[in-house]
Amino acid sequence: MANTSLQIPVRLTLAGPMRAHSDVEVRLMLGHDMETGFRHDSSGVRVPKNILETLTVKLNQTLIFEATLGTGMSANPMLFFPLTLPPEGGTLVVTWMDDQGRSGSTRKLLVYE
Amino acid sequence: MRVWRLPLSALLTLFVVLGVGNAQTRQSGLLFLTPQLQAMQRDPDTNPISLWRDQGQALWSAQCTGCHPKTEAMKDVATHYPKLVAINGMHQLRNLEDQINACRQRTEHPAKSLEDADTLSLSTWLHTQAQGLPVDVQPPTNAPEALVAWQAALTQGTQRYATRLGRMNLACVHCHDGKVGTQLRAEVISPAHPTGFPIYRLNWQTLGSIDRRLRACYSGVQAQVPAPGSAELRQLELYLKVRANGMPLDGPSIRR
Repeated sequence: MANTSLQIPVRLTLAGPMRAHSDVEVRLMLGHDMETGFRHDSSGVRVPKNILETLTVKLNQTLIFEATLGTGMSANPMLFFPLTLPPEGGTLVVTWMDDQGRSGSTRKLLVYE
Repeated sequence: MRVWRLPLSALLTLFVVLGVGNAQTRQSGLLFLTPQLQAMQRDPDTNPISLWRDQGQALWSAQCTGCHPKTEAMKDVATHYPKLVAINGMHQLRNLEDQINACRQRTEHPAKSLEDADTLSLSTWLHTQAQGLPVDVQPPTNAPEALVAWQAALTQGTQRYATRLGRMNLACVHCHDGKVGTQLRAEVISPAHPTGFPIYRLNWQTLGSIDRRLRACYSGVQAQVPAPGSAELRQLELYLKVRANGMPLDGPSIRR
């Protein structure tokens, strides 16, 4: 998704029963063009590379997921990973940074049934 | 003996009117996706269009509710476009993305391109509201000259659909009526019923409006591609929407 603003759209959802100790799937979708740097525009000028370089997910300040993405990743990347929900609950924080130096974060509070 | 000759345009219009009746036999392009892509379409967590829908909802609340306070009243707007509008006495067709831009100009916001992320987000939001409602593109009733202009546009769109184009020398009708369900390389040809727009094409890796999709068709048959927003694209869109009248809107949707 072409976006010139500093914040990119991020969707963070959890699939599975929202209970302590249950296994859920963290589903992360980020709206980013993931411009490879290999393309040229209609006037022949190379489009500069701009991809999400790094992405981290922390649960209560503990790193639980980290990704270094490459140019082979499609636009609007989707990243799913399993997570066992902690008994004490907490907050998931996603942080990302792209080649243009833009960065940001999204938080999600774990709410149990 | 006197031979009655109907003009070609009258015959084509008759063909359109007759074609509208068989609501059961007409199919949405969504049915031609693989089961995997249909599953991706159904689940908002895996459907990338969710990103545009969320942004559209935020934009709608921030920019549009000033003039349109009741979102419920806007539920069916996406089913009625393209519409004929009179600008300085000239009739012209306007689709939903054009209308979003016209609203921007009216409220003194800078105009954006038809394929801009904000334009498509708002279009996505409005199309999401109209999901399941039947396509309802009707001739204007306010002025007789508007009706004449609308019918002329529909006739031109109908003729365009059946006109051979490009180095491939193909008309829309050859594939989208004659070869529906067969393979075109790796693609399955779907019938031309535009109920799923705007579309997220995996090929584009982004969302696109019906304007972009039709331009891609021109490029596909190696014809001169019309400029975005040109009248001939709108006439073709009018014909396609009239052809799909009564079918439920099932977009925004994923396409290959």
